[in-house]
Amino acid sequence: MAEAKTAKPFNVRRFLIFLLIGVIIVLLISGIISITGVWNTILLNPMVNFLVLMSKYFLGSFGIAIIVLTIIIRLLMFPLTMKQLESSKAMQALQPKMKELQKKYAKDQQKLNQEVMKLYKEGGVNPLGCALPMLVQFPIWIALYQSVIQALAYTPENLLGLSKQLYSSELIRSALPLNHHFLWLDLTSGDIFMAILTVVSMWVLQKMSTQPTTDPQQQSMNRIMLWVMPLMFGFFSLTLPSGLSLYWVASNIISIILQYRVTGWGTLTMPTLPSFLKGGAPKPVENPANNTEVAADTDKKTGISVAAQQSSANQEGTSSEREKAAGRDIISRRRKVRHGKRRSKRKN
Amino acid sequence: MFDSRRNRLTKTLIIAILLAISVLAGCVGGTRSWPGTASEGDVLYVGTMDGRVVSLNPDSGSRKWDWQPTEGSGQASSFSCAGSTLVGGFLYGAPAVANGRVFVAFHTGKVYAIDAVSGVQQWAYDLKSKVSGGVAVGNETVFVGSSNGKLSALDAANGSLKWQFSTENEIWATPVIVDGVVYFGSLDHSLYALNTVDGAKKWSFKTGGSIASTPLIVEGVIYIGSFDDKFYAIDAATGTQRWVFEGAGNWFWAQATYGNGTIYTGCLDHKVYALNAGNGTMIWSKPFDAGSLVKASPVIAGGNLVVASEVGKLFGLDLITGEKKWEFDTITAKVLSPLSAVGDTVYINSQDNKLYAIDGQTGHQVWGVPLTK
Repeated sequence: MAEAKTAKPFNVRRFLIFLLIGVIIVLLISGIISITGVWNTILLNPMVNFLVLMSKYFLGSFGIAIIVLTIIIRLLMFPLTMKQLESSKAMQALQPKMKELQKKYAKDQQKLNQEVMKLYKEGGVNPLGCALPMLVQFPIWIALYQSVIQALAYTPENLLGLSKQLYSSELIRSALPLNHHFLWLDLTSGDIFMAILTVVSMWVLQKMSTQPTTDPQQQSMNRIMLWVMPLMFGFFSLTLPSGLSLYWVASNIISIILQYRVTGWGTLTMPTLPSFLKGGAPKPVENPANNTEVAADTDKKTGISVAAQQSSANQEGTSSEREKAAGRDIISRRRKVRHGKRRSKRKN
Repeated sequence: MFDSRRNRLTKTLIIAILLAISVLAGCVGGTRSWPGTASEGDVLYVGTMDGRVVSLNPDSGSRKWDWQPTEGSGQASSFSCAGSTLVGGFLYGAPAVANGRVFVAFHTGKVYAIDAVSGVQQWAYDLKSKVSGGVAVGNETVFVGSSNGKLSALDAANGSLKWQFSTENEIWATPVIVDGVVYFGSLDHSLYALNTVDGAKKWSFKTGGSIASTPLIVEGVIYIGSFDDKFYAIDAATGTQRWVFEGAGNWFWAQATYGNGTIYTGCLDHKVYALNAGNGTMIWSKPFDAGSLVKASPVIAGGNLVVASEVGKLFGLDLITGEKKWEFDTITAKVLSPLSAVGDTVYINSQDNKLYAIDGQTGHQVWGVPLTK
C-alpha cells in the first residue's frame, strides 16, 4: 500500500496540459500574444465568419443562421453539458446524506470535511463537476453572443468593427450586408413577442434546473433567481436587437431539452390533462432524480443513500411513475459501477 | 457546509455572468457615432458626440452658439457605453450649410434646419427611419438617405417632403449634388444618379459590395470606393466605368480627395492610396501605412495630404511621394469623422468629443477645444 503511494505513475496527459497552460501564460505575460488577439483568432472571428457565410447559404436569412450556429455550438458542447447536468444530478442525490453528516458532525468541522470528501469519493462525484464544464462553456457562450452582435452590424460602428473580423474571402465579403428580416422580426430592433418568449423559456429552464431545498434562505434565493434572470433578459430583449433574443430563445429551448433528458421537469409543475380538464390544481411532474427511494434500498453497491431526499412532490406522484424513474436511476448507477470496475481491472 | 459554499459560488458565478452580459450588451452594441465639421465664411459648424451642433470661430475655437434639439431622442440605450451623455441623438455626418441655414440629420431620423447666424431652429422633419450618413443641400433641397433604403428630398425652406426614391437596401452614404444631379451610394451595392427636381433615375452603377462612402466628383468623373475592396472611376453623365483599382485589402469607407490629377483615398486595410485620376494607376511607389484603419476622409492642407488613422494619429504626407512629413499623436481618442480644412488648417472631430485645429503644413496644434456643453 505504501509502495503504491510512493510510486505514483507519471501522468503524461496532465503534464502536457500544465505545460500548455504554462506556455500560454508566459506568452501572454511577455506580450507576444494578446488576450484579445487570441480570443478573436480562436473563437470570435471563426464564429462571425461562419455566421456571415451561413446567412448567405441559408436562404439569405441571418435569423436561420443564428439558430443553426446555436444548434451546432450546443451539439459540439453536448458532452460537456451532459457532464455538468449529470454531475448536478449526482450532487442532488447526495443532499440527504450530506444533511445527515452536517447534523452528525455539527461541532467537528474537520471531521465533517473529511466525511463530506469521503461521501463525494464513494458517490463518484467530483465537487467541481458542475462548475468546470460550465466554466469551459462560458467563453464559448460569450463568443457566440458577441458574434451575433458583431455580425448583426446594426450600427455603422458595428459594421466598421466587422470589417476587421471578416476573412478576405469574396464569398464572405459579398454576403454583406446581411438580411436583417426574419419572419416578423427586424433582427436589429427589440421585439415584444421575442421578449415574452425569452422570459418564458428562461423561466421554464430556471424552474427545471432549480434544485429542491429545505433551507429557507436557499429557497428564497431560488425564488428571486427564478424571476430576476428571465425578467432581466426579457428587458434586454426589449431594448437590444431581437437577433440576440433569437439566440437566447434557441439556446434556452436546447437547454430545456437537455435538462429534461437528464432530470426531467425538475421542480417545474405542469397540469396533467385530467386535472386540467377537471379544472383541479396542477400536479407536479416527477423529477426522476428525486425518485430514488427504491434505488437507495436496492442498490447498495454504490453506497449512496438517497432515501431521505423525498420531497412532498414525490408523494403526489403515481407509484408507477416513481418505479419507472427509480428503475432508470438504478440502471444508470449500475452501469457506472460496472464501468468503474472494468476500469480498475484494466489498471491492475 | 460544502453544499452551501457551492451554492453561494454558483449564485455568485451566475450574477457575474449576468453582469458581464449586461456590460457586453452595452459595449459591443453601443453606438459612438462620427459627427463631422462644415465651414462657411468665417464660421465652423460642428456636430458633437452628445448630439448637438455648435458654431465656432475657426481662428480660436471660441463658441458663437450652441444648439440642441428641444425634444430628446430617446435613442441611447441605458446599456449603451455612450448613452449617458447623449442629448439629441447620434450624428454620422457633417452638417451642411446653404443660404444662411445649417442642416443636420440625426440617427433618430430627425432632420433639422437651424439659422446659421442665431442658432435658432427653423424646422424639423421626421423621416421615421434611421440616418447613418450626412445631408447634402442643393437647388433649395435637402437630400438625406435613411435605413429604410429611401433617399428623401426635403424643401430647404420649410422641411416639407418633395419626393422619395427607394433603393434595395439601407443608405448610409452622404449624397453629393452636382449640376442638378444627386449622386449617392447604397448598401444594395449600387451607386445612383437622380434628377434633383423630381427624383427620376438617370442611371445606376452596380459594384461588388455595399457603398457607404461619399462620392467625390471632379470634372465629370465620380470617384468612389466600395465594400468589394475596389475603387471605381465612373463617368458622371453616363454611369459607365472609366477604371477600377483592385489593389486594396479591405473596404473603402472614407470619401476620397483630389489634388493635381491625383485621387487620394484611405482604406480600412490601414493604407492610403494615391491613384492617377486618369487611369487608376498608383502614383506613390507604395501606399502609406497608417497603422490602423483609415475611416476619416483625408484632406489637402498646407501643401500636404493630411490623413487620420482610427487610433487618433494624424500624418502629413508629401503629395507627390507619399513620404511622411510630420506626425501628430496628441489625440488619445479614435478619429472616424471626416476631416475638414479651411486654408492651411485642418479640423478634427475626435471621439472624446473634442475639436482640434492642426496646421496642415507643420502638424502643430493651433488649438483644441472640448465640445461638451
